[in-house]
Amino acid sequence: MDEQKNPSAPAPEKTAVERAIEFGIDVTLLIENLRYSPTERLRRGEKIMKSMVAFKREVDKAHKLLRGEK
Amino acid sequence: MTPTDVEEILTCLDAGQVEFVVIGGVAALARGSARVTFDVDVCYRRTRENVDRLCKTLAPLKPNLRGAPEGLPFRFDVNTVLSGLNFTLVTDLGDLDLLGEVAGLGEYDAVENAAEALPLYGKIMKVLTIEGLLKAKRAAGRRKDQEAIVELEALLEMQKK
Repeated sequence: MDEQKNPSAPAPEKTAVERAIEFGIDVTLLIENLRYSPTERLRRGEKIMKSMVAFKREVDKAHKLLRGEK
Repeated sequence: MTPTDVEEILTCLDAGQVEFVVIGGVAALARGSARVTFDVDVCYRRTRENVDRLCKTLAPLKPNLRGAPEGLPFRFDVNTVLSGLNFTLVTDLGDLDLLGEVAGLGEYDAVENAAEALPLYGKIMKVLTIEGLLKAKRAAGRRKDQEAIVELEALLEMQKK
């Protein structure tokens, strides 16, 4: 006999990973990070941070050019 | 804005035999977070000997108060550090925050108890655990930390599996 679902039963609690996905967090990035050693994780993070700082510099330069500043 | 050299700052503190625990965004990154951070946060032991080592180690990096008006006199020495608690600094290697205590955890001993040694850059360094990071973030109660908390909870769950 098929198990009857109780409509009044509380929904099973979501896991932390499910809550993170619902929040909009890309958990594939976490899975990927966990494949690396702590040092590699820091080096990868630092590389991203450095490229973001360099990108911001370029954006600031472009804004200055648009405003006619040197 | 100078990009922060995380490796140089941490290995420099380690070489100077400073007692410190890596906390904040860098600790989260080392634990698997995908959130990029722009500064290094460490909790330091507030004994005169350790503060002396801290000041001597950081002196060549010309530490100054971040965001302070230009020309504001600031002397990074033992007396200054012992008279204060938390310092947000800019150095030649980038931004460094020194915390004497961490919200949700307490002073150095409590922070150290919430940390575990991790191999970093060929050394062994004390890094706050995910549980410790969660306590600190929850205690800070900042809206901007909400996403970090959800991410850390997911990492904790993944780590336990």
